[in-house]
Amino acid sequence: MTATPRTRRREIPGTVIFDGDLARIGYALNRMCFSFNAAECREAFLLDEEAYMTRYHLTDAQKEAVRSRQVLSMIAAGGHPYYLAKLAGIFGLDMQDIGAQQTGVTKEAFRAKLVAAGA
Amino acid sequence: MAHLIGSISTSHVPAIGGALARQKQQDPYWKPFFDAYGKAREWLGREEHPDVVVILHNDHGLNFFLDKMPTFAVGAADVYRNADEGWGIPPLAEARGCVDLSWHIVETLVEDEFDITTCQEALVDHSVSLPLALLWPEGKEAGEWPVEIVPVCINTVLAPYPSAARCYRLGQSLRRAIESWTTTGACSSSPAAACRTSSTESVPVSSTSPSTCNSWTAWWAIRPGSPSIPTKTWSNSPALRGSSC
Repeated sequence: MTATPRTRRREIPGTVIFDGDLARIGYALNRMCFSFNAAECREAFLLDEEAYMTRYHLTDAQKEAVRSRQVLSMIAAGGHPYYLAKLAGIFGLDMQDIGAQQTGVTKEAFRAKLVAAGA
Repeated sequence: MAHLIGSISTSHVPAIGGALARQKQQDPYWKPFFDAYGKAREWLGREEHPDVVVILHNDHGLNFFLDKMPTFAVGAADVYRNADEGWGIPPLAEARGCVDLSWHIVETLVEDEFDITTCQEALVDHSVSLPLALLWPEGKEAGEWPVEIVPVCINTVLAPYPSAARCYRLGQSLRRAIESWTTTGACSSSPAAACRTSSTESVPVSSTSPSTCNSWTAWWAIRPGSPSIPTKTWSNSPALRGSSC
């Protein structure tokens, strides 16, 4: 069974709300990312990324999103930022890198924006 | 009776953990953030000496996964370990649980019709460990916190989230639980830990839960003492120095 397309229950323009719809779509991807709490799982992923994704039953769209290293694609594939942060950490990306990707600017520009907002 | 002395709310963005691990407290980018905790540390260390802190926080995929996602979960463990969250940062010290207060809170919340989850084992992530490290840096160095904790985890991961109104009522119920706690001293799971909360007056302070606000941890600090201490609240909003998580 697949998730039934329907009007989303919650709308915040420009924001993806992680609810049951995305939880269903993204379960395999998020489950794989959850495994990365363990250092040995991060190592296994780095050793053979494709095999690791297959082992966790990622869909083709999820695999492609991971290969692209683009967080927005991973979110579109049902990834939750909390779990994706663990995957991003493997690639040496922190939340500011992710914020930069999400807002379409460089990390330096994103960081400057944060400092300006907090000043 | 327990005495609720105040509330503290603080950001817990995980970048803080990286800065602590790399000793960046004096780094120009981080210094204003870390320095801002001075007043709260002074308040806790000189004016007040809480025995227990009730920590309202949210888990980020360390203790809970999407397979089971409680809306409200109350810790009832002897000890709460911090652990690797995927970034390889060395875990901070484990925190001792105040189990007696935990179960009193559980009883009170259910009496008030909150259908909570109880956790006799739980890991705590940066949303608990970072506030402890920020408020008690000496505890971080010593590897032991000077307080016991009761973590109360609020789902901010999977919508639908509890409403702000529901969280407010949770806060009211928690206050009722704390103020009515008349333990005879079974607060600590560690024989070495002094639990002075047993024979104390109660007064407190109020705070509302941060509701579904991410990157934000609220605390209620509890200690023995006179009921005349005014309510205090304190907050550090680095707003945005760290981005969201």
